[in-house]
Amino acid sequence: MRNSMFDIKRFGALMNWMYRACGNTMMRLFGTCFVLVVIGEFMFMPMTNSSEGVDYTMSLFHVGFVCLVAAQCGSFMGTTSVDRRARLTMLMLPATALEKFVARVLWAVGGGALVVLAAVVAGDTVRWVLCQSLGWMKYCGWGVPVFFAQFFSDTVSENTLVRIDGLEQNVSGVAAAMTVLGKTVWLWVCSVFMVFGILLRRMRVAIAFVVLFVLFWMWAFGVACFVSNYEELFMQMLYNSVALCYGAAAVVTAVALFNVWLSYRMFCRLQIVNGKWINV
Amino acid sequence: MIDIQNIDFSYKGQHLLYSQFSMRFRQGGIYGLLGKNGSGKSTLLYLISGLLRPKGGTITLDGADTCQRSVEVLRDIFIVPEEFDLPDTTLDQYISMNEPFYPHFSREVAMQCLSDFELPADLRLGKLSMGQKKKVYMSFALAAGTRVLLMDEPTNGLDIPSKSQFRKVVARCMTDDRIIVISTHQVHDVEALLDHVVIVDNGRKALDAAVADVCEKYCFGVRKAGDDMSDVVYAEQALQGCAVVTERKSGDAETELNLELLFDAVAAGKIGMDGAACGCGNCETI
Repeated sequence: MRNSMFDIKRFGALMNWMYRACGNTMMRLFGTCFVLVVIGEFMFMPMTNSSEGVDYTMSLFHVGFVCLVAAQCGSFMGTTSVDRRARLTMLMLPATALEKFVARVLWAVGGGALVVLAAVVAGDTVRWVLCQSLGWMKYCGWGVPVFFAQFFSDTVSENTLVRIDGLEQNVSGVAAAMTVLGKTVWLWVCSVFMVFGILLRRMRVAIAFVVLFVLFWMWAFGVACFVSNYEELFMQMLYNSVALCYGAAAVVTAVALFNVWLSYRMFCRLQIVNGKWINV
Repeated sequence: MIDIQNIDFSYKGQHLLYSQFSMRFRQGGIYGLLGKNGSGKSTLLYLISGLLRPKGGTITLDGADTCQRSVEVLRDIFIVPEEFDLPDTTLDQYISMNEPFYPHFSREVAMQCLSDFELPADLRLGKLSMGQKKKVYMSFALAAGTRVLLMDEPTNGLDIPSKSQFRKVVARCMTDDRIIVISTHQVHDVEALLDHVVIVDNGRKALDAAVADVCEKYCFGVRKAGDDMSDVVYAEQALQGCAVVTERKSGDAETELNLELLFDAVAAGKIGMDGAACGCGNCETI
């Protein structure tokens, strides 16, 4: 049987195995995120003056937190592969590499993102309840509904035409395109964490962050080098913003899919021991 | 049959551990894999199970490349490493989560092994000592019904009664189509169990012989000071006098294998692969 075969019954057993093996890790992730959210919210609270302000500020904090933490869940792809014992157990399990990889993606990335979302909801709710019980009515806004509304902001239905510098733009269309681009960029960031999560044994998250920082810096540097007339570029982008966003989203998605494929290839070649830094 | 053909292997940035190394493990054999620290015993087990990839050569299990880690191969190989993790679940949950992957798994065998190890069936794995975890893991390994069972230092962490229980359990679960490879330094724990001895040293086979052939060719005993030593192949100081390996002559009674003494004799170069053919068809020579 080829290692790329997929047996749905065995996959079900594998998901159950992963649940038993990773349950504690997920609980730890939930606990850590919950504490960070509560602490973060109490730090952000004094920056607002009204409960509505709290809603908005908290929801912004939530979006940033969820995007960052959920994206780095890609690095959990290698969590069961960190030490030799855990890696051995996983590698010797009689299932194909594809089944193990998909189960890992679902548990690490999908499960991790859900756990982070759950921690945000729980943290914000606890903060809201605490404010209520302490009588801090000024800070009693609940950020979760605003957060989810922001997350699904491309569901705006009305077409709103606005005129900017003589150009007519459909604001909701641009917002939808920007949201799609934002989600694909998140997928790409997550896929970068996935690559480093499988490739590296140590400092996976830190190295992935550095690589992402360097890539963003190179991108900004490239723009600065090759663009002489920013005003003209801005107008061009404004005029073609929807097409640009979808085009960029397609390119970013293609790169993210390449990263996922690369992660799978490395996953197939995982070894029990191979140096201090690399898993492959 | 596990067929290792001309493998080369080295860890990153280190010297070649195995160079053009070849050997075969046949069905129905319990192999003792011995060697000094760092001689590559565990590495050989990892290579056989496909957890490491040789830089050259092939390792096959009945023709299937173990490096590919196909489902068929993984269903037929179980490795009990020296250190391992067990999830914090009940034994029943542990069996339920792993059982679907092993088509020949037998709960009956698992329970029998646990009973032999004097462990109850209603265990919480997270609360067990290392030795108890090892017993549970070995019970599962034996019950998994794989044709190849690789054990790395299986008796480490076991108390004194458990060592004889281990021998009993392994002997009872041994079948004609199984290959068991035990890598260990605790030679006295397993010497009554083995029917084949493989000694590796600096990436080469220093000895690959059936226990029966070793005992047919050599005698293991103790001689006192002043005794005739002319027929001694290897000798070392012991409390009772001198522990010796001698060539067995016709008429001499067969002695029990002293694995430690044999290992020392091989390490000293007194017994090796350049002797007479053992004739078992498996090993080359002793």
